Amino acid sequence: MYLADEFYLIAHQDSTGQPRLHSRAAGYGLAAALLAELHLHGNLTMDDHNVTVTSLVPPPDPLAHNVLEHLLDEPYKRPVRDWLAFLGRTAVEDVAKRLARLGMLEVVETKRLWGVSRTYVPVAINDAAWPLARITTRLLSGVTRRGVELSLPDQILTGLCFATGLTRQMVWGDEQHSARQYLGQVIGGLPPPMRILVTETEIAISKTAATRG
Amino acid sequence: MSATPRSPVATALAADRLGAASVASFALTAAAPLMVVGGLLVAGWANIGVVGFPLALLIIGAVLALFCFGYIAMAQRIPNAGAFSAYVAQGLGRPGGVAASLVALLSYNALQFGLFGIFGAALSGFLDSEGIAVIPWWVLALVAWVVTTTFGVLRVDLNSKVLLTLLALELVVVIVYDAAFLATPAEGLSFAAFSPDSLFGDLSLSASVLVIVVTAFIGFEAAPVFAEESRDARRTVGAATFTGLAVMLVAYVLTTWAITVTVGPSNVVDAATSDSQNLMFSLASDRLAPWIGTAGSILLITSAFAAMLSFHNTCARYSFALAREGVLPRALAFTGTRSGAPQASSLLQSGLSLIVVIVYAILDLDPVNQLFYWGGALGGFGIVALLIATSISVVVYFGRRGGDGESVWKWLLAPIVSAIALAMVLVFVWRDFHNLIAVPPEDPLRWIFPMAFVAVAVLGILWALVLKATKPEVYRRIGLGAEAGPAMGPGVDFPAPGPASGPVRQIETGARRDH
Repeated sequence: MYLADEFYLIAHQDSTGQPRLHSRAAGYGLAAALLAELHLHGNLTMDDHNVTVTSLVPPPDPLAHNVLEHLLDEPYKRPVRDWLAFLGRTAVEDVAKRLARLGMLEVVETKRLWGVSRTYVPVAINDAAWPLARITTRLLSGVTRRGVELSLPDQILTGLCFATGLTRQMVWGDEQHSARQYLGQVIGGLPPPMRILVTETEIAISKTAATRG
Repeated sequence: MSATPRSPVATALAADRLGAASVASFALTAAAPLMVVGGLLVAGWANIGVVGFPLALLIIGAVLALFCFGYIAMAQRIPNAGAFSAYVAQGLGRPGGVAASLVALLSYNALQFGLFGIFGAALSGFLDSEGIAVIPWWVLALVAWVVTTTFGVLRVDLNSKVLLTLLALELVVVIVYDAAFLATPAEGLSFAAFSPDSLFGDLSLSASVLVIVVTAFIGFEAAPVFAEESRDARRTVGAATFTGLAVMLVAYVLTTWAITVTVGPSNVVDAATSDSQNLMFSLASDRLAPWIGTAGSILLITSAFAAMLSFHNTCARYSFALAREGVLPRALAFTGTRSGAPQASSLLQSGLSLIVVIVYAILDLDPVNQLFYWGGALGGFGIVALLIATSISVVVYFGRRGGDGESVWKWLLAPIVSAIALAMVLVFVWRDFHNLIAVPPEDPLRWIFPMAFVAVAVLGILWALVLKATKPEVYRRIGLGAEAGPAMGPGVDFPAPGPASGPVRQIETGARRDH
């Protein structure tokens, strides 16, 4: 499964498909995950100023391809934040569609007072619950210092869970403090472009709380 | 938008951003004409006993317009949700910035407390006079408290269409009232309320009037908060600010003048004193028809409620931004994952409001003259101090950069004139603070209230110096607001926001937009 797919599943309830995140936060988080996918595939990198395309090797998946097209179509180099905002407008729907194509989600229509509401609901609860369970377990074992080596994608996922506030739902009570320490290490240990991505995502989301957003 | 923007990304992002009308509507929520004139300024006549409010509105309108030139020039360089304190931090240094942010927090909270008073009193009076029910004001204030608290935590905001509709209705009512008032003059179509004698008989009283009038205009300063979300930091924010000011100025001047005409300038203070909660609406009922007065009362209640929601969120966002910087406890930066609301700071504001309403209910204090009016007076006092500090900061900021491409008028002359004028107001009101809050000169509140602002400011400066000595990484982030990176707790190595995240990058964006 791609990184953004896993983040989508973490950010939604496994049984109902209802979001766990505020819509803007989900958008920013998934936009970041899509950028991370392209980074992992070697297509782009980012620094404190801009996102830069580094390779035109076609990504394996149509959505990632689409994102890369957007980056290439843009005549100006833009900072991470602009891309988060731009991709964040449609990222939730885009990733849901990709998961639906993979057979992970299905559209459920519910009749409402006005019209019909469409929700993407996981087809198999166990599959949908796996990414959250995995990241939570690794976070907890990291916290209790039983030490698990995180793969780079899992490190990024953990970082994005932190940036969107989802880690607060994974760790409770007394462990919150040591969880923050551990998260600091995980994020601090990311390669610089991914660390910038996580930080920018966190800031973008917190800014929506500071304004009418 | 010019040069860069016509790319697919820029076009898409611009479509999501706020236009001048939306930004102005957010600014004008606080500026409900019926509440400001019918509530605040009538209470001002009653409590200060000076006729010349219409002249005072003209003077302060002009002073604030001067202030806005430099203020808007700052807005496009330093977009930040806590405009005043961010600008002061840039101009006068971080200790000044922290002092300003605490003064702003105190001022906006005072205004918010006051709104609970006017809402409760107006609704209670309305239900009573319509023979619906007799309910004490504080019960209704508590009901409003429950709603604002819930909305704050769930992050429900009135959208700009609702706000603009309310404002339009209020303006229609105000125009109808004004026409009726001007058509029924008591002492002829008198301009006495504009004569200098009507305002400047006693300078300490005039200073009090001017502070209350600043309160009337509060909201004009809100637009820069939306600088980053607006289509064009310079044009949208400028247009929203000046439109907002102009609408308020015309509505307030015309209405206060019309009231002096219809009851007679010599009689207006007595009329306000004898009917301080309801003067404008009972006048309208007498001169037009009872239902028109009633319509005004209802709109006052709805607009007070809209203002409550708006100020609640302003306070919550302000303390959220300070907590992000690490100036206030980090716990206040907690946001709801599902709602995206700054929940901890929202609950802090709610908690403070609840205490105030309960204390007022227990001590049986007056919700209009001792809560709404005092809250407005104190809020206005704090804002005057902030406007002065901000103007000086504008001059220092641009002075260091040789004007940074702005005209001398915008960055030097206009801010200096407004700072001097407001400083005079502050000095005179300080000397006789009892006049502002309408208590006897020997009342200890005469010192307690203004000293609270001084204490908070001093505390802010000291706290900033403590941070500088003990937590330099926090000190460095002061003035960044939500831009300050996530707080991971002590001893954790987390990347601090690089040069790309701070004001530096914003300056670049601002400059790029201009060419």
